[in-house]
Amino acid sequence: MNYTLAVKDIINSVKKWRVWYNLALYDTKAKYQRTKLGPIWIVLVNLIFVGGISLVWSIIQHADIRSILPRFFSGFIVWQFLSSFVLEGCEVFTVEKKIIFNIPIEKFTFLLKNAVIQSVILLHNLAGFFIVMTLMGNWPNFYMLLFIPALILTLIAAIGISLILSFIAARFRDISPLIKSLMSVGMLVTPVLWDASQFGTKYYLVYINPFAIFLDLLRKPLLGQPIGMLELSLALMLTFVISGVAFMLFSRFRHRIIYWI
Amino acid sequence: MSKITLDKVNLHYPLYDLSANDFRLKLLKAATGGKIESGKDVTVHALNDISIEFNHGDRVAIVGGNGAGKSTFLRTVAGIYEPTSGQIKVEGNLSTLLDITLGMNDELSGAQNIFCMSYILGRTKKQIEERLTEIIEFSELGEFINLPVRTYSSGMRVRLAFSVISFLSSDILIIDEFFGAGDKGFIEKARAKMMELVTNSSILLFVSHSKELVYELCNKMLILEKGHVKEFGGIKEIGPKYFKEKKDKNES
Repeated sequence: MNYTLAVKDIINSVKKWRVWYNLALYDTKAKYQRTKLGPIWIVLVNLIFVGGISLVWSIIQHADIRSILPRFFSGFIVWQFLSSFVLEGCEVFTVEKKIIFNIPIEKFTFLLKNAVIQSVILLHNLAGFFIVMTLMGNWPNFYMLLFIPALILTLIAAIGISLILSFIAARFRDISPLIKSLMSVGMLVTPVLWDASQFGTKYYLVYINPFAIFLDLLRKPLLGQPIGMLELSLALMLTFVISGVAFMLFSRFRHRIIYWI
Repeated sequence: MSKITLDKVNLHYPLYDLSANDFRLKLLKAATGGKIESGKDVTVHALNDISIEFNHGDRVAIVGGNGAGKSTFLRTVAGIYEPTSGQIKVEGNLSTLLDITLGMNDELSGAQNIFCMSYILGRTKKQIEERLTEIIEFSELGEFINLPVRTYSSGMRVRLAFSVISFLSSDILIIDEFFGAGDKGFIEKARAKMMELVTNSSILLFVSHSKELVYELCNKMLILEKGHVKEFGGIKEIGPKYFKEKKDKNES
């Protein structure tokens, strides 16, 4: 295992931020090149989805849509953010085959690039969320500032997870379809639409699902609520473990990626 | 002063998802002529104990049959493959021209692609902007530069790609043959630009099948065979013999 080379790869890729930052922006640009609305589509699609589901849910639950929409909207965009690191994470290296084969480049670059792409989408969604919140008369409060440190912690864990999955999925090609099918039930077992309190006294069981931990970590500040000690400590612990595993994998297999893709 | 030193470099190239009795494997063995070792994992011993030194002023043509390890050699020196054992020391900054359309995105315009492709090569926005008019002019794309690359002909793509990479300046150039596409006039122009690039560099490693190009650009020759160094020396000394043998082989 070569830890020095792995650390060097990470440091150098951070230093060459222009590469991943610009690649991410141009990739996003290219995706919406021929559309009139561009990335605003991301927001619109989500607005329609979230609005529709909230409406139906409010009728089924005999609840006020005003209490359901903010929670579901924030939960859904955070869920999209988290799940994209898992889904897109699997492809991080396989889609960059051409670049990896033809120029010497730090491997960590591609994980950072993916993180920028997902963050850009999240920012668009957040803009949509805050516009809707303002229209509904929910004004921001100071707890919302907690979103920034929560996002940083989540990004560390998310980059770690995408690293682990990108390695495994590149080497074992059956993993990617497996994960895609697992993620399609993911949102239903994560308290995006429903609430952990519906588990009653066993509400903590929800946190067996790591998505639930980071979901609450990011969603509570968005809703203007303080972050609980339970999800914060669990998130810190998980981030620590994930980064550790990711770093070990990176040190051990970084140079073999090229043979797997 | 640039310098490249390889010390007992070995590269084992694993092939995954092939079973040892696989038909595809036999096909591969026949096609590459390389040495394939089958154990639990199938590996190709692509570079075999290579020790060699390149110094300032060396313009090396790397030749050999199919599967001799030419491209693998270039990629290992460039740091794209990490050797299984042995040491590689590179002094000076290094650029690879292995695939010129690298990073080209069909949906983006020619101008956007100039930025995108240059960023991959590690250039800053300022550096790109300084060269932008020069690059566009060299590409001869005119108004097309603002249209998406998907509307380009293959010749136009090559022109765009070559214009981007040709404004590199680097101590060490690692080039895999890429001429051929593009119209005749542009090939001539591209050649002249290549000469300029090579003249400004300190070391050139060049893989090519073209005798003419090799004599034009290089002063040394490295002959690889099944991952070994078969011969290394001045192109005037070993070049004629190599090309004669190659010609005889093709005729027989």
